[in-house]
This record gives sequence, structure tokens and C-alpha cells, in this order.
Amino acid sequence: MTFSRSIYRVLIAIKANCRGKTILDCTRNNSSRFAICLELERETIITVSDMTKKFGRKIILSDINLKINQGDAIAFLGRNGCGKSTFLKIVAGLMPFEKGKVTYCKKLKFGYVPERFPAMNLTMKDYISQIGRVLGLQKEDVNERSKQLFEELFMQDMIDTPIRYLSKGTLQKMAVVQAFLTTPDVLLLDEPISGQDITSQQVFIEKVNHLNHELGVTILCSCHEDYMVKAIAKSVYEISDGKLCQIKHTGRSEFDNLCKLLFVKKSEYKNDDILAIPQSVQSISVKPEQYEGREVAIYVLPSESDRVIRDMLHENFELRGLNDERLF
Amino acid sequence: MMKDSFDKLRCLFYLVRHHGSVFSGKVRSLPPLVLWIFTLYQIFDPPIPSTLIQGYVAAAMWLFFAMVWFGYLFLSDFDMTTEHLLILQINSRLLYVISKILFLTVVCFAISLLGALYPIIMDFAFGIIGLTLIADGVRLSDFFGALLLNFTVGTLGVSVAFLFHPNPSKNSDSFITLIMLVMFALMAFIKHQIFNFEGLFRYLLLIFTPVYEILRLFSDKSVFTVGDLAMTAIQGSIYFSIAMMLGYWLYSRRVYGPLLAKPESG
Repeated sequence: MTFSRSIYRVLIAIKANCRGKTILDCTRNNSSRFAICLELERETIITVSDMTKKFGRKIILSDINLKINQGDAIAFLGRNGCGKSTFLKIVAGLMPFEKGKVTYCKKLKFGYVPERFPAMNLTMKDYISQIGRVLGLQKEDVNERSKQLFEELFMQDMIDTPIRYLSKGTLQKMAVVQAFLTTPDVLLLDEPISGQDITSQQVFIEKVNHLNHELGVTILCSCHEDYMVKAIAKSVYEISDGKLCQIKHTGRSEFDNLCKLLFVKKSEYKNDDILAIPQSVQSISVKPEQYEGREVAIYVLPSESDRVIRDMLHENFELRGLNDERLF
Repeated sequence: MMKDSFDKLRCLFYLVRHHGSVFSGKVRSLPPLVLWIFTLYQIFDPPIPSTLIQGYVAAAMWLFFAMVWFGYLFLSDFDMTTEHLLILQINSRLLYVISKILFLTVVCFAISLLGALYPIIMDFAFGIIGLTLIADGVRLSDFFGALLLNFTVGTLGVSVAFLFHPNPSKNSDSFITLIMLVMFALMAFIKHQIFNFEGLFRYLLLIFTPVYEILRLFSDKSVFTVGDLAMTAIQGSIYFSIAMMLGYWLYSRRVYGPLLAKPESG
């Protein structure tokens, strides 16, 4: 039996058993096994047609067309003020627009992580407890769920602090907690990690991916961080001059195959603005990402990691983390 | 269906509680209430008006302004992000707006109750030291009549505040809406002095809150009658309902737009 006939039989079997799925690709690997890539034909849940939004005379979004399917994870990029947040709000029905139409397949439940969580006199614990009850959860369920989220995001010491006294990063985590109390149909993320510490960012990304992969929640994310886009988005759009353009897919699969190395510059170095990453490392790594506190994340192929670590240590960097796990 | 309605009611209850806990901690909520208590103290401090009813009518007028003020402060206190979060969480803009109105109505009822009870409590306190505050004594009908009068006039104040609260997305408009709010509240009392319309034209004045018409029903009365109270309730509830619907329509249109998508089959 030839290889092609084997594939043909498998394809027939899949077609028979997986209605509504499209076979995208079929490849054979070294060990004579073959992988078949399938894509579910997912339901379009939101359709944006010829939508135009103006602020005064200025056109922010012009004739935008977009179909959002269930289970999509879309990132919207663009410079500050280009209309990313506005677009998210319009999709959620929170903002009027001048022209066009937004239609939903059914009454959708939206979750929302705003860019700035409002300051108020309530403590975090009281706020989450009250919102949980508004959402229809039992008191015990709210307490249990919020306790888990507070612990995961390292907030348990601050739950009795009034929200108005919290830092920007903690407020953002607060926004994340309230959004994760229940499972929405669509989760809107408006620059959700710009103030969070790195460990919380990782927890956040894991949670978002869990919602997207396991529960089929549609993710719409406005952000600037490249690693966030790579970690979450399946498709990426850029908003520029009021237009929405799909840009190169930088999807998770490419990112997942890479090894993430987290380095910190040794303290005796005073020049924090630009971390001198060796040219040899820059040439073989995916774009390095510089964080606050002289930290830098570098994504490389596992086969190249030894060489990169050696070069970085030579340049007075310390290795702090490997594949999202902190060494110390 | 029943479960859905019950869920909505429960959601409404917790939303009202949430509004209460967020707003009650703010100092800005106090001045209208202080104004109201000071007014009660002034009106029912001896010598009190010729009859208890006249005292209640004078107090109701100030309650209208106190509720306009309180309603304005409460409705203009929310920032857009809080509002968006709550609307998305409950998945209903109407329910959110109803919860805000309900919160104001609950506050209105509480301070109406205080207004109705205040002279009775003071009369009792004066009685302990051997003095009489209210010569004719207090009837049960006085208490319930005053409660209804206060509550009706107070909710009319809420309706004015709801009609003219600033659009949260356009801060530049807030001063203009404040001026309009004050003018509209004052017109409730002086409309007949300013506009001397005859015939059918005088019905145009019904655009303004019917506080003057309601208070005039009791201007020369010494007891609350069922007819006057029924007329008060009818006028008040009709105006309140229309103002709320108009206010919700204006608010939705300006803040969230007419094109807010409705579920359609994909």
C-alpha cells in the first residue's frame, strides 16, 4: 500500500467523522507517521460591516469590515490613539459609531479587562464579592474563585486595601480578576498587561490561552507587547490611518517552538536604557524583549540556547529564567 | 421565564447595593442630605407653620431640590469604565440604568420617611419636657399623606436629575447640563409666573415638572384628603414614567448610539 493511498483513506475517514472541518494540510514526518492539520468551521459570532467612527471631524476608523469567529484570538496593534480601544468598545456595543453595522449571531456575554481600572473606596475583596453576587454567583463560589485568582496573581496581601490606593499594576490585576470570575463568550483585553509584573503576565497569558483553547472563548486584544501577541493571538491586525489591515501571522506555534531565556543585567552596570545584547545573540534570536529592571527575554531555538547563554553570561548578564520558570 | 425574572430581580438588588456601597463612602453625597435635615429643623422649629400640613408642604419643596442635587451628584459620579464594566457584566444596559434609578428611589423613600417622621418625633420629644409642638395633634393620615407627598415630589427631583445629568463621555457638556438642570428645577415653581399662557397653551407648561401643581393642591388644606393624594400620585407617576423613558432614550442615544447592534441571525 503506497503512502498516498494511506493518506487518502485517512482523509476519507476524517471527512466522514468530522463534519464541519476543513483539511488544511497533510504532511509526512521522518518516522513515516503523518500529521493532518484540521480547522473547525467555526461560527461567525460578530460581523462588523463598513463601520466608520469619528471623533468630531477626525475619522478614527474608516469603513472597517471584520468577521469574528467563535474561538478566534485576534490582536489589534497600532500606535497610541489609533483607535484600538475604540474598536473594542464598538464591538462590545459600548460606543456609538457614525456609519455601518455590527451584528451578533446571538446575545453574547462580554468580559472586559480595561486599560485603566477605576479607583474607588471599596476594598478589592468587597468589590469582587459584590460583582460576583451581581453576576449571579453564590457567595461561597465568589470567595473560592476570587481567593484562587488573588493567590495566582500574588494579590492576597492587598485584598483589604481600598482600590483607590492600589498601584497601576495591581489595578490591572484587579481588572483581570473581575473579568475571570465567570466565563464570557468574548473576552476584550485592552492593553491588559502593560503594568503587571512578569510573573503575573505569564499567569495572565496562561489563563487567557486556557479560556481560548479549552473553553472556546473568543479573545480580542489590544496591545503593544510583541511577546503578548505571539503568546495569545492567532491572527493580528494593525489599525493605521483608520484602516484595519491583517498583518503577518506571528502565531503561537512558531513562538512555542522557541526556548525563552530570561536574563538580567548585573547591577554594577549603570547604563540601563540600552542593554548591550551581543551581536552574535541578536543574529540568531527572535527579537529580544527588554523589560523594566534591566531584564531581557530572548527567544531562540533550543539547539542554540547553550551558545546564547554562554554569550550572554560573557556580557555580564545573569540567567534568571528558562521557559517561563524563574530560576531564582 | 420565572427564573429569568427572579435572576434579574436578584441582579438588580445586588446592583443597588453595589451603588450604595460605592457612593455612600463619598463626602459629596452628604451636602444634599444635610440641606434636607437643616430644612426640616428650620421648618419644624417652633413656631411651626399654622398647620402641620403647611409644614410638610414647605419641606416637600426643599426635598425636591435636595433630590435634584443628590441625583445629579450620584449620576455624574460614574466614570465610563465603571459603567462599561457593570453593563457588560450584567449584559443589559436597561437593567443598569434601572438599578441607578432604583437606588435614587430608595434614597428618596428613606429621606421622605425621615421627613414624615421628623415633626412626629420632635412633638414626642417636646412632650417629654411638657411642651406641645403640634397643637392639633398628629393623625396617622398626616404621616402617610406626608410620606406620599414627600416621596412623589422627591422622585420628581430624581426625574429632573436623570433628564439633565451630564453625558459622561463629554465632560465639556457638564457645565451646560448643570445650568439646564438648575433652570429646569426652578421652572417647576416659577413657570406660571413667567409664562402666562391661556387656553390650550397652558398645557405646554406640563413639560416642566408638576411640583407647583402638586403643592398647590395642599396650599390651603389642614388635612390630607384621599382625592388630593390620589391626584398627587397620578400626576407624579405619569411625569416620572415619561421623564424616565425620555431620559433613557436620550442617554442611550448620546452615550451608546442608535446603532447599537441587536442580535441578528448570522
